[in-house]
Amino acid sequence: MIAPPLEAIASVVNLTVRYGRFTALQDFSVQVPKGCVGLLGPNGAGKTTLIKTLLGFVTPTAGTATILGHSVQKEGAKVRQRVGLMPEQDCHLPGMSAIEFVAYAGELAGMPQAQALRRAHEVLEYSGLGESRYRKVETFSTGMKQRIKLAQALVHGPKLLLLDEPTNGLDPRGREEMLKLIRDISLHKDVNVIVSSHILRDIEKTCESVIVVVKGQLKMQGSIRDLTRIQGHPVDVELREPSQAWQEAILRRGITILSAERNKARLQHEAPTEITTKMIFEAAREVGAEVRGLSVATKSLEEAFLEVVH
Amino acid sequence: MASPIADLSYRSYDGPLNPPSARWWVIAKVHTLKAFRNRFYWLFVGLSGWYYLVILTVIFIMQMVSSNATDLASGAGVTGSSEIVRQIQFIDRFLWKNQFLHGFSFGQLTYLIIALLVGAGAVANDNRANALLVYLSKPCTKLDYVVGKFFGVWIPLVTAMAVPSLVFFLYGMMSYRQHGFALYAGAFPAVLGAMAMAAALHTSILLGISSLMKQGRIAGILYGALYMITNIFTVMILVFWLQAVPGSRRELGSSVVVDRNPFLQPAFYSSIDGLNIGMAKSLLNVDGGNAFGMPPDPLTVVPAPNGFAVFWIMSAICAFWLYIFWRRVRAVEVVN
Repeated sequence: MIAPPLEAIASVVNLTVRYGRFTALQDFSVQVPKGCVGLLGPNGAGKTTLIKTLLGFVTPTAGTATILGHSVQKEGAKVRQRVGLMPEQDCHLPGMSAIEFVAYAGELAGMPQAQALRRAHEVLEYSGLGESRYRKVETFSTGMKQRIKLAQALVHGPKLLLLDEPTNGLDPRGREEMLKLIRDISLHKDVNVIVSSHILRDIEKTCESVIVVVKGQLKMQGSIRDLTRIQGHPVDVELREPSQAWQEAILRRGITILSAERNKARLQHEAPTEITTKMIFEAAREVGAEVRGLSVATKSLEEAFLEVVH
Repeated sequence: MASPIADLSYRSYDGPLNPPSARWWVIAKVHTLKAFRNRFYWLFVGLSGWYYLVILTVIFIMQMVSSNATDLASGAGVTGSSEIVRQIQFIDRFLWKNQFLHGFSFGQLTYLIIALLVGAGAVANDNRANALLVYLSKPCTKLDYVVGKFFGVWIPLVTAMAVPSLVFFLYGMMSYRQHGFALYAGAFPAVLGAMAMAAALHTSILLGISSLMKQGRIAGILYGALYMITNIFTVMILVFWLQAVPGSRRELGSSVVVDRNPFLQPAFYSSIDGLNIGMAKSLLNVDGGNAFGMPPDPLTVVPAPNGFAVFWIMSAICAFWLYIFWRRVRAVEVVN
């Protein structure tokens, strides 16, 4: 059975962006699926340029892009009304309190004044700034500034949220809270999210799929599960204690031991995973070993990313 | 344990959204309200009307004196009392149109301060705080931003200029109709026109300078310096104007004419302050004089310039600085 294609929230076709002689994006094409998508790539890969182009900040030399069915080039205002941007760098409106800033952002997006104010209270509460809503934004700490950037991006109820390095400058606790918030937005608030980040663990924790950009070109796209899957479906087994007899019983069954360290081993067999699993348990029963853990082996996203990039 | 940032009351927004057009009004409205909430703004609005306050006080005192003198003269049966009374009928000597001009002219310095208060940081502070990223990531175009900022400074400025004149106008219509005030009622819309142009000039230059800076204070200092330097030039020209060159004074029938260098008159108006006053003189169709009720002296006042010329010069200056502002509006720095 052929799986139906994922519905795309954004579509980029042959996009080329140049800054003078430097080409930031070269003939770049991608279909961004719904849900939470990570935008990965080394420094200078073109991630931020892609976001800026999608918002119409940068005019592409060639190619087209559409977001939520609207052309970025021809219907820029409509696109921006349905999209929220949390930029990488600090940005606020000077002289305003948090509530004024977020309500103003809502009005700029087209919300009626009363709705914008009501919604600003709600969004600030949700972002964890409820108690600081009447403070001037200039007096906020780095973590609070990150949150208010998220609040102003969310206020008008965008269908797509573009987050550029959302955990920049956050301490570990703040980072965890921000990631939890992003996860909640994408899973429970019906908002599609594109997260651009260098921090692979952040992407791993929040996104279902990734787009890898290297030197202005699409290097890889897919779900994190696919990206981290290891060829041949090896299995990681953890025993209660190391057992040489169990390893011998495994080898007798024609299973390859890819690696073994103390009570852990990575095994591979050409048979389907279910059969391999059954054989592992049989071997354990045969020698009286106790299996404490068994899972399909995966790479970390970092390993997968490095493989793709190099 | 629930995260401190979890709030289950939050829902996605599905309420109304206005079409993504005319966003400039939101920007203009917020800036205007911000200015109106500033107490210093209203302090300087009050101060900008000082000339009207002085002239109304003078008129009031002179009316009291005149009234007492009339009573005394008629009571004592003094011969020629009507002549004495007529001489102190100070108010009948008034050229009301000129009072609007003087009210506007003497308020110029406070208009500068109000302009600095409202407009110096309008763009510079946005540049410092990367606020353009917020504006331009919303359905708000570069044109919306420029127009919104323009009216956000222009509206408070023109309001500051108009309020004292409006008060004077209303008071004059109520109190001095019998002294010819109503004959010059058209002076009020004329001076409003001059104020609109003056506010546009202040706003355009200030926004242009502000867009080049990242500190509102620096933008304010630069604009203040530009204003003052050009103003000093105007004052110097006035000194030359008042010092008649020997042999230039000629009797012409019953009047006296002074031959002056033809460049003096346009040079007098070659400043921000000069252009504003020149425009007001042209629209009011007066030359000035009769300040504080002093008798008009045509030899000490600089004649009104050509209104069309002043209009086009002011428009060109506005266009130039707004173009600079326009060029500076970018959500991101693009290195070519």
